[in-house]
Amino acid sequence: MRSQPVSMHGVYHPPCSAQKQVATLTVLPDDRLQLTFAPEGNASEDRAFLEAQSVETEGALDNRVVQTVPASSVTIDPPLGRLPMKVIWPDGALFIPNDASACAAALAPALPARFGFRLHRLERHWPMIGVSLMVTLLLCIGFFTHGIPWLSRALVVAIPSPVAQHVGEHVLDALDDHFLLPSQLSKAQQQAVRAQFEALQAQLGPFPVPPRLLFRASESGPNAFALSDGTVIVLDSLVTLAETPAQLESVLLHELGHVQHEHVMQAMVRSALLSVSVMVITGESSGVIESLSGAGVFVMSQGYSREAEEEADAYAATHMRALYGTVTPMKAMFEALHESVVTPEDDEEAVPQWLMTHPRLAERIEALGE
Amino acid sequence: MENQIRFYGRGGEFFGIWIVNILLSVVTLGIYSAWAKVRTKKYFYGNTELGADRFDYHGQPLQILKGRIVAIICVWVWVLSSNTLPLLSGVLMLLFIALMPWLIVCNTRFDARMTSYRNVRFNFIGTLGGAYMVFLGWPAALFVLFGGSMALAANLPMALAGVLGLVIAVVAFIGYAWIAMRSSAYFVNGYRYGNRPFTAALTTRAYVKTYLVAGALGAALSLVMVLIMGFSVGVSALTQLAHGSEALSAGALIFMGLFFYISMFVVMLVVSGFVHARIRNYVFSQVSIEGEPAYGLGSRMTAGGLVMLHLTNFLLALVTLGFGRPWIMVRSARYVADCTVVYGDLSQLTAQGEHFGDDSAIGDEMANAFDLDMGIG
Repeated sequence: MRSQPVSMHGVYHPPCSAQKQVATLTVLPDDRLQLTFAPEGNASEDRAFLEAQSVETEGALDNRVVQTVPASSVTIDPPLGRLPMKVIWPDGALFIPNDASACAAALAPALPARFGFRLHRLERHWPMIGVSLMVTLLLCIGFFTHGIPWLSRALVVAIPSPVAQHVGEHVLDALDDHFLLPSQLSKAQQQAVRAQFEALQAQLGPFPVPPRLLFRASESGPNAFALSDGTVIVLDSLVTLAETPAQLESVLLHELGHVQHEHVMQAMVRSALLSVSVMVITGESSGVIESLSGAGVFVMSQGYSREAEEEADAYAATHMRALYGTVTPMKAMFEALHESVVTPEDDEEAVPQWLMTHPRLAERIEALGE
Repeated sequence: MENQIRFYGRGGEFFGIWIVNILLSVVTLGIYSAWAKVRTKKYFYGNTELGADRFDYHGQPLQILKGRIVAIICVWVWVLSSNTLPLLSGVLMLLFIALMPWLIVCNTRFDARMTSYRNVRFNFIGTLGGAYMVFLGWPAALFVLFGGSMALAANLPMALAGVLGLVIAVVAFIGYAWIAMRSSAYFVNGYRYGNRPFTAALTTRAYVKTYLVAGALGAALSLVMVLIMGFSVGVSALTQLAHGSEALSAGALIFMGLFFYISMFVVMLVVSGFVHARIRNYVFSQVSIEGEPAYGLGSRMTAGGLVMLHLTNFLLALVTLGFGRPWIMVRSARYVADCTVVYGDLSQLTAQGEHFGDDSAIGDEMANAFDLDMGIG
C-alpha cells in the first residue's frame, strides 16, 4: 500500500486503433490504475461514448476522459531485453509510458511477481549465461556421442521385425539389381560353407532375427555384408581368398556380430534421429548451415559406423577364441583382405580416419590383442 | 516523407535470451521451445521501430506448442517412412504437395495476424483458390506444357526440333518469371494493416529482366570458378607427373571435390542474393498501403550488401561453431531494417484493427517444419 498516487506520462492507443494520444497513468493508493487521455473530437462530452466504453469512464476537464480499473485487470508483457514497457488496458487499449523503469517501479507493488521477471534477470545475469553455455555445449556433445546411439538402440527394439524384414528384402533387391551377380561357386563349395554357417549358428544361441546365408559374386573385391533381416551375403572372391575354414568363419562371425547387435537397423534409426536433431538445432538458418550440417552428419555417421565395426570385430574375436582358442586366423584374414584391395602405390594414410567407414587395418589387428 | 525503419536489438543482449532459451528447451525436452519462439519474436519485433513506435508479436505459446507437436509427429512419420517404406513416403509426398497452398495461406495469415503496429494488427486475406492457382495450378500447367512440347520435339527432325526447343525454352523462361510475379503479387495484395489493404501492380518484364541478368552473372562466375579449378589442378597434376606417379592422388581428388562444392555454393549465393535484392526492391517500390493518406514502401537492398551479409554470417557461424547465431540473427535484422523505408506522414496514420482470437498455429508450425524452419533458438 502506498500513500501517494504516482503519475507518469506516455502514449495512448485506443483499442484496435492506430491513433496516438498523449495520456497520463496514475497509480492510486488502493491498487487501482487511472488513465487520463483526450479522445478524438468532443467525446468527453458525449454520454453515449462514455457509456459505450467497456471500462469505467468519466468525463473530465479539457476534453479529457478518465478510466479507472483495478490493477489486476491490466496485462503487462514480461520484461525482455530493453524493450519499452507496455500496459495493456482491459479493453485492449495500449499505454506506453515514456519512462519505462519509473513505471515498472511504480507498478511493481500492485502487480504480483511473475516468472517473466525472474526469467528476465536470468537472461541478463552473466554468470548464469556462462553456465547455460557450458551446459548446452556439454549436453550437445553428450547427446551426439551417447544420447543418439542409446536412443537408436532403444528404438530398434521397439520397431517390429516385419519392418526389418521388409527393409532387408528391399536392400537385397537393390543390390541384386545393380551390384551383385549370381554366385559361380560349385554346389559342393556352397554346401561346405553353408554347413559351417549353420554349425556356427547352432553354437551361438538366439539372434534377434534368424540369420540366413546367401552367395553372390561381384566385380569389386572380396567382401561380405549383413542386412537388417539377418541375411548374410558372402561374395565368391571372399570364399576363394580364405585359406582355411577358420579364416572364413572369422568373417562369418563378424557379419553375425552385425546381425546380433542389429547394427543395420540401428544405423537407419540413428541417421533419421541425426537428421531430425540437426534440423531442430540449426533451424532458421540461411540454407548454408544446412549444407554444412549435411557434411557434419556424414562425418558423424562414419564415426558411428566405425564403432559398429569395432563391436562386430570384438564379437567375432570372442567367439573365435571360444571355438578355436586363437584369433590368428582372423588376423590372417584381415591381412589377406587388405592385400587384395590395396595396390602398392596406395597410401592408406591419405584418407583421414574420420572419413572412413571402417577403422584402419592396423588398429583392427591391434584391437584383437593376443 | 521518408521514415526509416530501425532495429535496436543487440547481439550480446540477445545472446543471453537465446542461450537461456536453449537451456530451458533442452531441459524441458523441447516443450519450452514454444515460449522461446514467442520471446525471440517479441524481441525482434519489439526492437523494430518505425516513426517513434515499435512493432509487436502476439503469438501465444500454448497454440504454438500444439502446432509444434503436430508438426514433429508429421516430420517423424515422414522421415521414418522415407527410410523404410518408400511407397508410403511417396503417397505422403503427394499429400503434402496437395496441401501445400493451404499451409502457405495458414502460415502467412497467422504470421500477419500475430503482428501489430501501434495497437493495430496486420491481416492476410489472400484467397485459398488464388493460392492453389499460383502455387499448384500455373506451375503444373507450365510443367505439362514444357514436358509435352519436349516430347513432341523429340519426334521431329533435327532442325525443326532445335527451333522448337529454343521456342519452348524461351516460353518456359517467361512462364517461370510470370509465375514468380504472380506469387509475389498474391502475397503483397493479400496483406492488410487493420482495414487498409496493401496493393501492388507488378509486371512480368521486371522479373524477366532480373533473371536474365542473374543468369548472365551466374554463368560468368561459374566460368571463373572452372578456370581457377582447372588451373590449380593442372598445376598440381603437372608436379605429380614430375615426381613419377601417373594417377591423381586421393588428396587431389578430395581437393577437387571440395573446391567444386564450395564454388557451386558461392555462385549460388551470389546469384540468389542478386535476385532476392532486385526483386525485393522492385516489389516494395510498387506497394501502396491504401487509405487516407496512402503510404508507400521502399527497399534499398543491394546484391553486394546481401551477399556480403550471407557470406559473413556463414563465416561467423563456422568460426563460432554455431554459437554466433544470436549475432547473425541480429545483424541480419539490422541490415533488413536499414534497407527498408515507409513513405508518408505517419503522424496522420489512422487504421481500424480487429481483435483476432486464438488462431490455430498448426498450419504455421507445419509450414515451418517442412521448410526446415524448426529452430529452438
